[in-house]
Formats: sequence, C-alpha cells, structure tokens
Amino acid sequence: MNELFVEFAYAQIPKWGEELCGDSVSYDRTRDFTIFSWSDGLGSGVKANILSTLTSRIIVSMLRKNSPLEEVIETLVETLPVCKVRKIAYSTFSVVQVASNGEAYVAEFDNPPIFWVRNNRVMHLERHKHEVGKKVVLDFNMRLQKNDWIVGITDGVVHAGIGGLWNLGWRWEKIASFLESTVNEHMDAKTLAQKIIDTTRKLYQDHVGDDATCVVAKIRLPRRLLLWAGPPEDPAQDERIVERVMTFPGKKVVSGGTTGNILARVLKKEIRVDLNSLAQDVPPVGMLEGVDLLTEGILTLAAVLKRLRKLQSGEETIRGQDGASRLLRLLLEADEIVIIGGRAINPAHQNPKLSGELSLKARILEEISEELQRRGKMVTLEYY
Amino acid sequence: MVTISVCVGSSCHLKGAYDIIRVCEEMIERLGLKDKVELKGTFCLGQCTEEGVTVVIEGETLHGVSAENFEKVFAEKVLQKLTEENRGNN
Repeated sequence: MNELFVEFAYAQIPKWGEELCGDSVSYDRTRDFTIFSWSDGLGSGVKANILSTLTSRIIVSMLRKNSPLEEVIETLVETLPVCKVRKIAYSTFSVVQVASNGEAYVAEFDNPPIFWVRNNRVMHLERHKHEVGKKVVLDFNMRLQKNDWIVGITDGVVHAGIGGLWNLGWRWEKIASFLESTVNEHMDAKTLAQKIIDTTRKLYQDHVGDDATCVVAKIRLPRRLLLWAGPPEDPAQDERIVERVMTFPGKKVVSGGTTGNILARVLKKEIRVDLNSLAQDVPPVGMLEGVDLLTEGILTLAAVLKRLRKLQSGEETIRGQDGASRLLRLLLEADEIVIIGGRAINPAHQNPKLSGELSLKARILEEISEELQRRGKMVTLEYY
Repeated sequence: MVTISVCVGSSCHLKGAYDIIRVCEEMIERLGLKDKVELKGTFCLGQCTEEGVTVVIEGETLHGVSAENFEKVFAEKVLQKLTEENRGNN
C-alpha cells in the first residue's frame, strides 16, 4: 500500500476572447508514482493549445515509461510542429514526478519556478542547470512529506494585472506570500488552484491578458476504503474476511443483506435498520457498530453504478441519505479502494421473475471499479 | 408492545417492502398505536424464494405480504395481539 498520496487538481482560464486555453496540463498515476506536467504553448488559442497538449502529454507518457529526460526533450523538439509565423516550435514545460515514499523529481523549462510550501512557508529549492541540446532545463530532486504542497503556475498568473492594478503584475514573490497566508491543512487541492485563478481573473479585472493555469499537488495520507460485497463461495472463509474487514486501516462498507448478516453473526452484534434512509428505488441502510456503512446489495450497487455513470466531473457533491447516495459519497471521497466480491450464489437471484433487476453482481462491481478508476481512484477488486 | 419487522432485502424490496412500510406507518399513525406497535426493518431473512414480502410479527414469520393485503394482516395479527395483551393486563 502507498504511504503518501498526491491529491492533484488544476484550474485555468484562457486569454480574453479565446475559447481554448493555450496552456495544457497532463496527469497520470501508477501504483508507484504520480506524475503531472503543465505546458504553455507559443501564442494563444488553438495553435498554442495543440503545442502545449502535445508537450505535456509526451512528457508524462515518456517519463512514465522511465525514459531519460534527454530523450524526452529530443522527442519534443522533433515532434512539435513549427509555427509558420515565428519559424520555431516552442512550448514551455514543468514536470513533477512523486514516488509513493515522497521522493520527487522536478524538471522545469521556461515556466515560472514551482512553489514548495511546507508549514505555511515557501521553501527554497536548489536547482541544477541541465543542458539538453540548446535548451537549458532546471531540475532537482526533493523529498516531500505529509502536508507539503507543490504549486505550479504559468506566466499568465505571474503577469496578472500588469500595467493595470499592478505595474509589474502579481509577481512570483507576491504569489508566494499569498500562498503562505492561504494554504491550510483542511483546504483541498482544487480549492487552492481555483483561488489562484479567481484572484488572477480579478487582478486582470476580467480582461485576462494571457492564458493562466495553476496546478496544485497536496501531499497527504491516502484515504482508504474497503467495500465487502457478497459472501465468499466457501463459508469457511467467512471469519477470515470479517477479520480482514474489521482490521482494515480506513473506512469499512458492507453491501448485501446476507453479507451483513454474516458480519453480525461473526461479531455477535445486531444490525438495526435505519428506516429514515428509506427511498423508493434503494432499500434502507443498516447500522452495525464498527462499520461505516451497511447497505443492501445488488439494488444499491446498481443504483451507485447508474449515478456514477451520469456524474459529471465537478459535481462530486452527493446529497441524499439513501444507501446509494451514502455509498457513492464514501467512494468518491476515497483515494484507494479495495473491493471484495463474493462468489457465493444467492438462490433468490435465480428467480426468473426478478432476474432482470438482479443481474450478475460481479458485473456491476467490475463496472463500478472501472468508473472509479476513470476518476483517478486506485481500485483493487478481489473475489473469494 | 407488538414488534413488526419488515424484510428490506433485495428481493423483498422489489416485491414491495417500501410500500408496506409506508402503509404500516400510516396505519400506526391513524390508529394512534405509536406507543403500542414498533415498526422495524430487517436485513435479508433468507426467505427470498417465498411469495411476496416476508414480515415477522412477534416472532411469527409471515410470507406473501403485500401493500394490498397488509391492512388485513395488520388487523389479524397485530390488533388481535394487542387485544390479547389488553385482556391480560386487566
């Protein structure tokens, strides 16, 4: 299991009058590290957007495969289309790669320097010059710890308000002070990125002079969740799984009537059904000491999947007290999710009258985990 | 006090447990039995292959309950038990 988790988010705003932002952000996560890159393409609008998209995507996908930086930059030089007006192929970039133990590698090319915030102080970073062909890239290694923040910006943020509210724009040093007074442990990455971009827009007095992007990585402990859905094929495994669930370091959710009953039996505790959570399409939830949520199985899971599919990014606030809303809320809050599916066959689900609704639970669990992975969650699906 | 447990497992939910709970709540309210009848939900009772919804009234497991016949079940089982209790008390 990972030790540290990188919560990543970004916000951006295009230059006034443009539909597309000329800055691009790419992001990827594997079991061992998180990698993100942002790039500011030459000019603005669609041309800049293509340049920066290519740049940030190439960097992320190549570094992900452990290609050396030299090779990445060579590839960029060879791949980027040359601007007809300016006769050059150009796009800035920064890339940050964080391993799960907090070791990080950063490379910067012509972007404003990143901010490293620890204990509400912007920390000094020793950068090394690294010549690759004719380009000078600054790079360095660092060791991140819990509650550290990495904030990256493009020059549209640095220049915010230039010649207007500020003679010289917002400027790197002032942004650093803004971060020192704004960042706090309870803030999430998305909120901070949005704050920076909102302030940028205000400083430009809504007449944004250049594409502006802010990327934020918050280093914290991962939020873990275990979902146990379905009794094991072999009842002899019941106690082992119950123990696994109860000792899991994170939120514990049990989905399924029979599964819940097994848990109650092994723990010698009683399930109370919360009739206040009654809803037309989702059966009520149960309460059992020691678990965070206990729901009915197949119908609740099917409702969770249906809602997950419809959910647009950005509207991750789930209201509602029914079982499916509660389960969905917990799933979206988690970073690492372990799903334990049971292979036992429920005789009731073989009833042809109900077979339409009670389709294979395994299928639903698989689709839920695919949807969650698409949203950047680390999901492990196991069967017993 | 009479306890009614309505199964709210997957099958019973599909077969109308939600409506039964609504009807039962409404009856308790209408007959003023709030202090005499306790309505509870219960997770799967393992009776899924039986007809209708499974309801347990004072330990007696009843199959084939629906929103339509619930009023009758309530009168036969619950009201009768309450009458017996009353007699016992007097």
